[in-house]
Amino acid sequence: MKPPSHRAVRRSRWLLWPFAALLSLVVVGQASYSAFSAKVVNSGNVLGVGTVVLNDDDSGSALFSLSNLRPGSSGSRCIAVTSSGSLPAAVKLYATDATTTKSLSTYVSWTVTQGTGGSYSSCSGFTALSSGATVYSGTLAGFTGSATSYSNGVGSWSPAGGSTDTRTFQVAYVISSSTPDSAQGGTASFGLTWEAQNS
Amino acid sequence: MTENPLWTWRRLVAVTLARALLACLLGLAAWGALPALIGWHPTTVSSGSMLPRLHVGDVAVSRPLGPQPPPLTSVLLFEDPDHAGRLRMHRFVRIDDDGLLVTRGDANEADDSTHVALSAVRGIGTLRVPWIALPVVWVRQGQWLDLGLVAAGLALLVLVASSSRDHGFADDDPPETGPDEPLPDEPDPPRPEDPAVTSPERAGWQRPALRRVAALLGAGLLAGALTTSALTAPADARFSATTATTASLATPTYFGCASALTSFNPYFLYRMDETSSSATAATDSSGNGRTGVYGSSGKTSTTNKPCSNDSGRAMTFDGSSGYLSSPAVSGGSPDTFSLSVWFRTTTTSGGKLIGFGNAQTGQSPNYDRHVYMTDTGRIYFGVYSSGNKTISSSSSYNDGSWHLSVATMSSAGMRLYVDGRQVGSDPSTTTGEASSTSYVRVAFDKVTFWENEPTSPYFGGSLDDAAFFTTALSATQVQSVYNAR
Repeated sequence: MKPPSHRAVRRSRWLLWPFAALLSLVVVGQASYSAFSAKVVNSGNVLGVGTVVLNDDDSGSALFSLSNLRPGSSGSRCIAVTSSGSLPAAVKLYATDATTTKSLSTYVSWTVTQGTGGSYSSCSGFTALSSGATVYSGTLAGFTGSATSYSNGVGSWSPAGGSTDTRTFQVAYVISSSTPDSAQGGTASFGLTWEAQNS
Repeated sequence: MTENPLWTWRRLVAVTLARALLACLLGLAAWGALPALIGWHPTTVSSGSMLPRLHVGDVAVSRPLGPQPPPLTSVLLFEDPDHAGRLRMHRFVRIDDDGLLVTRGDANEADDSTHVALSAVRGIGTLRVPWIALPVVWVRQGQWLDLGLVAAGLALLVLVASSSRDHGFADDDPPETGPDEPLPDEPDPPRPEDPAVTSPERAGWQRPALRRVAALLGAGLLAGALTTSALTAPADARFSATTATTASLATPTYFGCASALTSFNPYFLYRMDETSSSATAATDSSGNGRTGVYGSSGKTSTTNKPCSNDSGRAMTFDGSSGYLSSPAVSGGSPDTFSLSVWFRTTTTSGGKLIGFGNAQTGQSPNYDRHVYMTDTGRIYFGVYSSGNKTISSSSSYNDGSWHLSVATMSSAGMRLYVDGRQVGSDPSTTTGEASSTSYVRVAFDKVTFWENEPTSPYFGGSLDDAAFFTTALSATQVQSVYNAR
């Protein structure tokens, strides 16, 4: 076979530019359409993708549902939160939909301690971490006012991912013994959310 | 020159393919980087929560937000509300009640927990350049093997693409230029009218060294621009998961009995928390400062109190000399009032619990609107209204337990409550004997001539929380005092 002529070589050199331009246009166009077309909405749950998964052991029950609290009343409860995602993540605790009447939450001291052992049904066996156990300590109003989203949430738990990691949070309240009568009939209700985001 | 091997078709195809691939890569890089020139925002996708739409290593280019709000289900690039200084690229799913945008990673099971303001949106995802920023991700994650393999592959492509200059031509056309001149050694960004190709003997631009430098410079600039823009603003498509519980805390309507009494605005409230048996001043807890007067003897303080929810103590009177009196009641004896006191006794000689008299000490010449216990332990409420009018309990309460007696009078008549429940009433008695000077007497005053007159005017037993109201407490209020114990 006759080797390619000077002319053929030169033409090949010319051809590749339109070819490359066209190819990149097609690739970007196709990729952009599939990624950003408003018609495409995905339902989630992609297999084979790293995940962040968080669960707790309250079976949908409230951590506290207490009435008739008087000055000096106190109590605590535990909840075990389990991370079972495949990605390393940082977990933060924050309050949602916090409401209080008669300023009750300003008279409630509120501590969240992290550790191991214990469960929603009983705190027995709970052991606080030897260091960094205190997740929050202050008034309930301070907690619900300052920890309202992931970005300002409290906590230092960072599950490494790839295996199940459980941490127990002991939540304790004390109704201040100096609570004035003006807080009679007061309420404080809020959600406690633990959120994990991959780090 | 003549020793250069000749071109073969196979070699020509290989070289052309290699060049095409390199040119294509540069073309993709240009797609990723050049939109920045018109203010678009290229970012590297650095995690997979928008899978399968966006992959890690893609470059996503966002166009700035126009005057209109972004359409629903568009993919937005916005400032990550959870991580200051970072960007997030998630889908816009709805607007919440506060007018904030709710976003969600396609691969996440739930919407993002923190909603974002429209002002935090940097752009709408428009172009996706697949995989092109993978090396950036690899560098960030330290995946040096992948990086090395790709670098080796690239080097091989460059090698093949640039091998052309060693080849000559078999045809007998005289070379128009130097044998290695016409072929660029590095692919360039698309530049179709390369002036160097056709005409020989031009100035520097067509000389191989310069062309090579120019090509390298162009590719380097492009890659640099892409890397810079991608590195400075990686878009985190974040995975997140939440778990939640709820808590609700509530206090009762009244913390304790005294709190309930206080909330009904008493004229005075003597909680009898004084600990000294010789104390003569009875603190008024109503806030009105109407300090009462104890007899200097005949009483002892006790910790046995009726309301476990209350702090403080109660006072035990000896039944022979102990008593407590209020200062003069302004306006004299009222026709609308309530008298409330807790008592605990086993006495069988009865005595005055609480009532009005026109003397502060000793036996009052005039005395009515009073509550007393009979020798059998029944409770009487008596008002003098053209004769003695009384209502009474049928049960006895000298049983050693704490009980609450509340007597009220108003235009609705007389009512007597024991332990929160009404035990007697007289709707027809609405006024008492007028008395311009009047005191509230507790634990002692005259009871002579009243129905079932007790043996003793002094009450022997414990008392707590003596209160006088210038209103008639309602049945509900009385009940709430008792319930708050």
